[in-house]
Amino acid sequence: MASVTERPGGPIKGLYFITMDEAPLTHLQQVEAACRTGIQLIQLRMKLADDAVFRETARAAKEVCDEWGVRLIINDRVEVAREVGAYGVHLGKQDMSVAEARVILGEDFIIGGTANTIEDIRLHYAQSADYIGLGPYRWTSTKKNLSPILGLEGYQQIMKQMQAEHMDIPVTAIGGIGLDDIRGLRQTGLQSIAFSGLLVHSKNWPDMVSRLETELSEGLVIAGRHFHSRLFTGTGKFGSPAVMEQALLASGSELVTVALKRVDMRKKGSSLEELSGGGKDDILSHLDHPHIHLLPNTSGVRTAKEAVFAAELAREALGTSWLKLEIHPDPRWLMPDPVETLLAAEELVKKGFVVLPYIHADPVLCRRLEEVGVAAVMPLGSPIGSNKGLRTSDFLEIIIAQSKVPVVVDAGIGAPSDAARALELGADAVLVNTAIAASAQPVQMARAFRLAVESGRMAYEARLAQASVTAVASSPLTAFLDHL
Amino acid sequence: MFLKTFQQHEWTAIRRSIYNKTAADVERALARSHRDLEDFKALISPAAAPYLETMAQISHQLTLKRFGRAIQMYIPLYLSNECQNICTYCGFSYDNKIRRKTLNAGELLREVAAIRDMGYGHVLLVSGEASQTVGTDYFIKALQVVRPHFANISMEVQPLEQADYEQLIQEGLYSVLVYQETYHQEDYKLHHPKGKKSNFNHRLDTPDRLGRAGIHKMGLGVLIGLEDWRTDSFYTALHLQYLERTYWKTKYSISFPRLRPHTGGVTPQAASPDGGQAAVPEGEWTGLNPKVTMTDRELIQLICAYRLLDEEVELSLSTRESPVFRDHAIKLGITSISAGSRTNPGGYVVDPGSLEQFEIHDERSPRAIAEMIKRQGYDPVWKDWDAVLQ
Repeated sequence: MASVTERPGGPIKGLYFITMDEAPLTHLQQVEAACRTGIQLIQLRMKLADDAVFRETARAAKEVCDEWGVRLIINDRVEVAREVGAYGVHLGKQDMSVAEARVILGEDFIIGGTANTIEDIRLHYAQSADYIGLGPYRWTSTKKNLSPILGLEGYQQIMKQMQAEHMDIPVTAIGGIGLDDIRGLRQTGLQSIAFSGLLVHSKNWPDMVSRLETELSEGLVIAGRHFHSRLFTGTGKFGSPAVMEQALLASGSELVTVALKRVDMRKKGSSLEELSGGGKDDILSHLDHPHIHLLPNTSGVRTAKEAVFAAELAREALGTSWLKLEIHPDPRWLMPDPVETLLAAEELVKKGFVVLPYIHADPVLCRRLEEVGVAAVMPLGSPIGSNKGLRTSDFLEIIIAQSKVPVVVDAGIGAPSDAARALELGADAVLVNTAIAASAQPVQMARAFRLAVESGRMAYEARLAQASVTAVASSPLTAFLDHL
Repeated sequence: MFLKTFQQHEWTAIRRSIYNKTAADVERALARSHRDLEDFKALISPAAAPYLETMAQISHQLTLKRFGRAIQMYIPLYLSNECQNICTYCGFSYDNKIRRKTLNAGELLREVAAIRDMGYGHVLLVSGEASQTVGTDYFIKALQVVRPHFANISMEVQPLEQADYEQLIQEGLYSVLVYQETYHQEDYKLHHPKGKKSNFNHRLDTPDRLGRAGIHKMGLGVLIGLEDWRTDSFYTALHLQYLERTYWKTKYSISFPRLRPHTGGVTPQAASPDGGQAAVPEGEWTGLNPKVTMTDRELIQLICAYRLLDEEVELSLSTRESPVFRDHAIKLGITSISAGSRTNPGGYVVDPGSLEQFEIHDERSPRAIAEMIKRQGYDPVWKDWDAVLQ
């Protein structure tokens, strides 16, 4: 699934840095430091400076920001924003109203306003503000005139109310937010978070920014469930359940596939331990971690009919309607049967399953599966268990470009570099089993895959260039335009 | 439905994002082998202007790879100029006091014969919007007259319902062109104050209805001049990508009509282009002056940008453009071209003197255009479909 290019609210998204007084660095130094970390949005906020100093700093900050291609927002002082040609202005509760600022600035500047309550937001929204700075999250020393703190609950309520009133305007959370608060805030629908002190007082700006970005990144959503990790794993071929457990924890994986045939499904409603039959085959109890979701698979079935039957058993026994649908009548190569898979997928979707089918890298089949309502497609990179890597990359690229559901590359990924490559191509996730389980050191290999998947995704999001352009010396095709 | 996707993209934010693209964004877009809408924005942005020759080279190569040296020939056949809509830019507008005409079966057949004589195996049927007299029943009759004579029939008429399209497809309809005119909702209302066309959402939904009806091909576009062409083109591309992913068995084409002089319309207004572009290039506007003008250079930029975004999409160029422009454009990404067009009902033989919808700029005959295409090493294609495939 190719990434969505423009989200509502467009420019106000991600990390937003606000400079602060009483800091170890000057305001200009803070701006420079922030630019170096790759932050795209900076607000110059100098509450203590007089107009002349502010104006001079703003001019210098604008120059720095231009050099780095960063957008500069001016706090409070509308005239200065206009003078230096800033990206926009941010208005506090005591400052000028958005409507007044709009008269001065026109349509070419972003105008944001501070809000503490839904009433504040309604007012800004009615005056066509471009974004809202909502806060404070908790008590902070940066703001002298402090409004009541919101906490996570306050954000949840206000964001919900905004949705109910169809106020479609980007919101940035502001005021005393720490690393651990980000995921909760993100779940409320916020797309941007502002920081001052956390960065200014950190020893290592780039490191802090990268940690913040990881927390803020949207991650993968399949059938409404959010995944932080894009590495899915399997449970087969490990030397022992204990090693499997350690490896899966090291991988960071949140979706782990389990073969139904490994589970004793006749013991209805039993605990996980009982279901796995205890003893050496004790798989499920080793998967009992809050962040790990089970993805039962139908490995072993040969027809659509058998698959549907197995799926229903699995749902009852394991209490999940998620299903990795795999139908491979051929026991040697385990090649998926496209016809039976499509039939089964259609039936299972109707029965309310979240279906993730394992298939050949066949773009038309992917579309047909999408049409019957599967939650993701799982095309193979090369024959399962072969560790040959992305032999199907030409077809994977087509699938990724046209798919409307997440694409999970399954089977054949032999090395972390294969996984990284799949993510660089734009795959939404990979499923890796053999390469981890059968390696000499599964735990270390699991960690290597985790890093590779993160790195591949990061490169994809950074818009990897694929080839250099050769310069064109003359203009044989467009010279005619000079004479028109 | 596209409406949902559309509503997630706010006009001013998109426009700002396009105008904020930098040379670095353009270079990155050029370097990629698969480009997305973010790259498209860079390629249609002012920042891409210095890269035009590079864009043209890539566009030329990609078009050659996918389409070879073939240029499809098409020609419009106007069925009627009756219209209940007021469109500020159109000669057929309801409030324009002109003689109205709808071809009957006999007249249609005479026009068909004239077009066949020029060599065409493809035809594009065009009308205004007068659903009482020129509705689905009329179109069915028209298709029954036309079908025996053409391998491939397209239509550019008012938006219809899915069931109507299904009926027309049964009668041999291959392709439908329906242009949004502009994706700027408020301006759309200004330019279409009266008639069924004033319903923005119904028009926006038309390609979805066509897709559900299982049409072989559909054409999209905006009328360049109504609004900022870059932003409008972004929405066209967004629409295109949505459709390609949703109705994947359908083929797509894009057209780039620039506003041309016509009779009627509103009083000319001063051009208020973004970033101070040049004034209207061609004189004697009797109707609406474009709010935004697009230079020839910019049109080439847009054509190439579409090709760089999408290797498969067909790009079509009408006789609104000048001979010199068209001669050169066929190497830059265009895949189909019209020639010898008349934009009035009966314009070929029945009633050549009636009012044209818009004035054409390239008066050369189909034969002359074909010769021009051949001289450049390309092949004019007159027939590229067959009734047995329907």
